[in-house]
This record gives sequence, structure tokens and C-alpha cells, in this order.
Amino acid sequence: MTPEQKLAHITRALKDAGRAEVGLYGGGEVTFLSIADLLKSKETERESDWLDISLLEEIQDARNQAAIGTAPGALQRLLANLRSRRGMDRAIALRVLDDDRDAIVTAVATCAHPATYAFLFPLAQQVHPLGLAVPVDAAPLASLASSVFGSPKHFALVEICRRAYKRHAMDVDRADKQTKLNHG
Amino acid sequence: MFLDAELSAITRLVLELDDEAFQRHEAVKLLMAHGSRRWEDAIR
Repeated sequence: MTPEQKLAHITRALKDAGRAEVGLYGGGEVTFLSIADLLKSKETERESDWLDISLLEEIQDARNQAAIGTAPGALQRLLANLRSRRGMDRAIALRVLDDDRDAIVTAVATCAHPATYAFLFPLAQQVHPLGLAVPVDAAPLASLASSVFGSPKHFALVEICRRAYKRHAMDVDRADKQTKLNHG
Repeated sequence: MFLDAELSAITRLVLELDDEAFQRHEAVKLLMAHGSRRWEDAIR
């Protein structure tokens, strides 16, 4: 299989799985990784990739926010994937967390990122995520339980959970590269 | 990195300090200024 055939195969598979985005570039149609996959691919040991992640998180949050009112399930999708501080501030300012208790509960149950869980935790402390990518340590959870939603302490705990996740992801990437080196 | 090594200590500050003292603490300022989004405190 040639590199072009491999690329065509991959992009077709991503499109079929709903995990691709199509845009115009250089006058032609180009298939990109979805933003969720792009975020995952950037979880490396390189600090510069994490700068990209912070921007991509803001873009993802802004897209999900813009879809509210135009797409079914958009609020739940926004909350379950909320990652950036800017997205969190906007969600609070626009009061999207005020009315739909069910959406918050579902978002906590389905969220995967520790920062999302930490952000929503004070609003639904009895709900446990079913598929958290990395467990949140007991100490931050205990502190989150006593913090006021939207307070400086709450947001500091979100950043603590985010940073712990980043450290874990960097360790995983480093170990993965070392394994490949050892078996290369 | 300093922040990565001090996450447990900063977590304890949430319970130990009142809101004003918490926000004034230098480690908290560093955490909130950078979150996980800057590399300035990394030794590179």
C-alpha cells in the first residue's frame, strides 16, 4: 500500500466514524482529524504541544457553546467536554448551568477529562463519572467538596486536576516512546 | 517543575487558608497565572 493509499484509507475510516472534519485549503477539499482526536494526539511530553492543547480546548468549547439552541444535545455535549477556563467563564456568564440539572448530571456521568469533572463537581457531588481518563486523587476531590462553585479555590482545584492529568499524559507518552526505542 | 511537585501542598492550602490568603499565596498565583498552559516555569 502506497503512502497515498494509506492516507486515503485513514481519512475514509475517520469520515465513516464521524471523526473527521473537511475544509478548504489551497483551493481543494482537505480532510482533517476531528478536534477531539487532534487534542488526544497532542498529549505528548513536549511542552509546546500543551500550548496547542490549551488553544484547541478553547476552540472546542466555543464550538460546542455556539451549537446550543441549534443542535440537539448541545448543552450536554458542551458540559461533558468543557475543558478551557475561557469556556468555563463563558458558561457561567451565559448561565447555561443554571436551569438544566439533568444535563449537568449526565455531563458529570459521561465526562472523561479530570478538568471537566473538577469544574462540574461542586454542582453534582453525588454523581460519579463512568469513564474518567485518569482518576482524580482523593485530596483534590475532598477540597472540591468544600469549595464554592466558581470561586477562586474551585478554579485553582480545576487547574490542579488539569496539571495532574498533564503530568500523567506526559509520563505515558515518555514511557511509550521508551518502549518503542527498546523494541525498535 | 515546581508546580507539579507542589500540587499536594497547594491542595492543602484550599483547606488551610481563607479565600483572601489563598489568592495571595505565591504558589496559587503561579498556578492560576499558568495553569497547564504555559512553559515558563519549566526548566527547558
